[in-house]
Amino acid sequence: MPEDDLERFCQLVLHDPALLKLLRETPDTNAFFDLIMRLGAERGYHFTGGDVEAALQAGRRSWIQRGS
Amino acid sequence: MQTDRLAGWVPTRLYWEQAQPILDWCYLGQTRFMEPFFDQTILRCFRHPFCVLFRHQTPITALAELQATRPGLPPSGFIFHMSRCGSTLVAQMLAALPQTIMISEASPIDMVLRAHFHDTSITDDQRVSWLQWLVSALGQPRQGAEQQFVIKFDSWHTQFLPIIQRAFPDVPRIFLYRDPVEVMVSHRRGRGSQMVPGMLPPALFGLDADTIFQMPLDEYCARVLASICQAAVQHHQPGRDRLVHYRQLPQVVWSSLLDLFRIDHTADDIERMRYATQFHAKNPSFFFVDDTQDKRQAATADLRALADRLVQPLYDQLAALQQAQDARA
Repeated sequence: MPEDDLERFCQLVLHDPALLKLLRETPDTNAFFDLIMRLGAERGYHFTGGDVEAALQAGRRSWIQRGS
Repeated sequence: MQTDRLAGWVPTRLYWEQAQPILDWCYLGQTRFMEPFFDQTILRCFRHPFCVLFRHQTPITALAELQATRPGLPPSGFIFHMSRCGSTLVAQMLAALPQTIMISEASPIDMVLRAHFHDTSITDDQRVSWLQWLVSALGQPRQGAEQQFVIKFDSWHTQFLPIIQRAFPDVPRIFLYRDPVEVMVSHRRGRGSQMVPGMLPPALFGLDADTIFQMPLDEYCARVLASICQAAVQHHQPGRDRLVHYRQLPQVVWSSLLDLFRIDHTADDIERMRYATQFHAKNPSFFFVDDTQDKRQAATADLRALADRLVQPLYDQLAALQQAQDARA
């Protein structure tokens, strides 16, 4: 499922300093979305911009909930 | 976990997953803690989608590994306070110094100190160790110029002074306090979370869960303030703890507290701190306006009666301790 692919891709990135650096040094949000989907596709992970946006919303929500 | 992977990362949340304490980390890189409160700096980082999407999650023991291989700066000073008494101003003045890491009311510190409320099997020894590891992680220099590290605790953390004193027996501490009427008027206008019944465990303040929802909010506020001040009095260590009254701000920061916290400073640093005092500490977009008289005039008779009955006796004890402190100086 695409959301699983995105989750797996995020875990891959967290263990790859070069990918982490590349993504965090992309300040523009649109460029970030383009880059993350391109990097994911190059490595066989398939997800859409909508999946990324949903993951961002879930990420913010989880952080807030963990603070309560 | 390889701790070099945590370089530039900061623990921002402690939560439980399958009964295990887990840390949520955010990449800050060289971003300094400049906002009035810890979470505000993290939320600023969250404007970049990278910081939201890519967050390490580690067991709390990763902090021990990090401390062993990449220890942070030892803390130079601790700020405790009764709330609404200038503590954020002090923190903002210190945050203006580029050589100082200023951590203000960090939620992972709160979660470690209150961990035993979540899991009663967590011992005091564990909380001491977790606090030491966490403080080391928060004190990591990330720009290279940092030399000192100061922590402002949440107001209710005076209840945990024994744990904090065990973990860091040699760190200088201040307790900021203010006329309780002025503090209560401030909370009546905008209640802090600690003044909302149920937001924190009532047992933390020696209160009963059945009664806190029956009492007026101002009475709950007065009882919380009394509990915070009681703990400050009870655990005061003359010669180690410095009492600071709101009326001494801001001058006491550069005339006394910089030396107490052993913060090396220049004339330019003093000017940076003076500049910071122009602005409202919690809302730096606005200029600071002294509202002491306004608050005193706004106090109603019932609020004054609660302050006088429940908080004034503790305030008087703090004032007496400060008088003795100043006589020794």
